[in-house]
Amino acid sequence: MNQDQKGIQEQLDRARAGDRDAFAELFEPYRPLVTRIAIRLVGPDASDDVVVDTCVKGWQALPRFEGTEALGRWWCRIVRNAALDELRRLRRREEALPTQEPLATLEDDGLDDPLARVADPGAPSPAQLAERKELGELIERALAKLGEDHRTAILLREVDGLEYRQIAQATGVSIGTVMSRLFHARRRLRRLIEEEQAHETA
Amino acid sequence: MKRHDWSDIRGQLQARHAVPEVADAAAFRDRLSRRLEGVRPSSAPAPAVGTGTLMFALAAGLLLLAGAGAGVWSMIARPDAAESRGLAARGRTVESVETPAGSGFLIVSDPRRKATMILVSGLNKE
Repeated sequence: MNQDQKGIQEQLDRARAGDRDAFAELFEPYRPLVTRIAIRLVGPDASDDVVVDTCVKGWQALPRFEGTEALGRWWCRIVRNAALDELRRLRRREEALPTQEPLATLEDDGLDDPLARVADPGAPSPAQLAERKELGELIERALAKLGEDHRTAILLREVDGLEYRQIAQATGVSIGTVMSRLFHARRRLRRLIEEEQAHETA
Repeated sequence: MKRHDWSDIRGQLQARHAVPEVADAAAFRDRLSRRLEGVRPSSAPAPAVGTGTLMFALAAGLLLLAGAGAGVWSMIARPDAAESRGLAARGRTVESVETPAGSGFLIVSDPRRKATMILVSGLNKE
């Protein structure tokens, strides 16, 4: 057992003994991962609650965690359960399901700022910026037409950088299914982008 | 029509859908600490399903079957104590039942609609 594993084991022991600070320390490295998954599964508005619920579930389940499973995968499974609970609650309250709205937009596309190019000769030209912006909008429209499972898989992989195994745990399917979903999602997204493009030029 | 590289598409996805930095660790820890107040870790692996749990499940199942088409409706949920109080405040009769295994049932009746709802699993206690 190396030093890192020893440290984690000590934190686990302390957390199991009821030390909430040790538990929080144990969770902290996985918080960005859990947050990303929560956002993809329930949307940004409800994700904070899901992250906290994930911790509560993890805290309750800690005595049953034998340490034989990687902590990351353990958290992936727990956040999925917490997200499903949240979705049930949302449905029960007849609130809208997640819309996967863009979380960050390019507020300043640089199109109106030629001085920026003078300052940085390596910066993209206005034509390139306009092309990128157009592609971004095409992708948004295409993404909105993608099925929920495909969209979630694409975002978890391409934006959040999760491993296949983590996506499998987070979405409750096998690794094979994740790979298949990603294959079909990429192909479908590309086709939808081309359709959008054709529609625009028609 | 231009065929875009996947790297361009990925770049756009990342630019538009990147998750913002997670909240400050100290603030999150405070929130978590408050939330964990009074929540105990389960001290042992989940016990095998006991007779009591089976009986409750059977009773719930029978109630659902008997009620099909007769104004009885059901919902699987995770009620907490606040929701129980809210239901009671709205004129529902709320009966809380806990199984020996620690899971919970809420049997909620609405006399005006002649309806009964069973809320199961993870009944939070205060």
